[in-house]
Amino acid sequence: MEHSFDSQGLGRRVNELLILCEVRRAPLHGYQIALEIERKSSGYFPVNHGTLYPILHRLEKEGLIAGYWSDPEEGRARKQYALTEAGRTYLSEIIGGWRSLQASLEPFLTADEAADGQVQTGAA
Amino acid sequence: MDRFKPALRKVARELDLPRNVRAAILVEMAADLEALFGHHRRRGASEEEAARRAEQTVLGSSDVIRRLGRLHQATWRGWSESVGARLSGGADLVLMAVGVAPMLLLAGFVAARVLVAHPATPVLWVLIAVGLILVGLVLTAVASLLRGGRAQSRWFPMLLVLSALAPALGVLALALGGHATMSALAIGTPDAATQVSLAARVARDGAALLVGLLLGIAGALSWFVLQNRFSVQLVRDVDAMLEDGPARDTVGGANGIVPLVRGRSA
Repeated sequence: MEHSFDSQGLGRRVNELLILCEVRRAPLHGYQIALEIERKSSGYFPVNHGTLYPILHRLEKEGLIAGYWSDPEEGRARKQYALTEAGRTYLSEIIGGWRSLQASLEPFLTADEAADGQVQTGAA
Repeated sequence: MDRFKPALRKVARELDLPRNVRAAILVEMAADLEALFGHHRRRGASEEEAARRAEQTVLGSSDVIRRLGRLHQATWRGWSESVGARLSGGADLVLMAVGVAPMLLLAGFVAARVLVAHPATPVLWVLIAVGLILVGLVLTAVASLLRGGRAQSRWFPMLLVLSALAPALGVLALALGGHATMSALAIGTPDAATQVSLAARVARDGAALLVGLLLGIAGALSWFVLQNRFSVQLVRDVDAMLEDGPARDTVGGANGIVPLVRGRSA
């Protein structure tokens, strides 16, 4: 088996995937990443409670994303994040892992639905 | 920004990190807090509700402080803080004047002498082009700083790349030249004219290495100075952002927030 499932840190890995996917297309500020994830998931993945910055800064330290300051001539600098080449490679790998997980779960989900159908038919 | 001062002061107090690292985190958080506040206000939330939701998203629980602190802990903390402190207040520009400028001038002088005396190799031309870009970048940065502008972080990666590239090209020029010289010597005993030519070639390649090293050191020093200037600006931004807090931001106040003591590393 190419990928075996490791349930440790599942939430962390989901957040990591979501963040990397968001910065894949264009550089974004931290708050934009949080809002986009919430919007696209219709609020299913609320990015808050201290999850965003530690993940962003860790990914930056690992070289998977790069943080850029917006460098205004006046006023305060603002930071944006963009996916690096290493991050793009890593993202492809973890997307592969998630697809394997999805495929591995599919028989269980389908079997469950079929069993439900049988139970309902039997009851009727 | 006043509405977030208490929360940001609390973060500043709890983040046990070097000044520059802490400042970068606080500036990033402050910008995101304001942006989220505006976002929620545009969607019809009251000021209180918008501020509460922005704080909840950006700051979350105290766990975020602990995790960020753990993530950014560095063993060179004392060194970086002391060097950074000594370089503030214009000392960085003095360092540029007495350290970087002479090195760049010497590199230019050596390169000019080599070009006058010997035919340049392709590697040497590339090295000279790298040097010119590096000098242009440093001059632009210094001119901006002298006009009172901010250090632009977009220059940093380019400066680092050029600083690494210049010595590498110098070494490459020396290696290629050395290989050619040794190959010529291996053919047989050279006559007097050839010996002079080979000696000139060695001198040229040695000069190329010297130019590369000087450019590398000057570029790295410029990068360090500009990076430090950028950090100092962030620290000043944070100091300005957090000073003169509202009356409720007092020791043992309603929020239990202790103000930063002036002079303490914030």
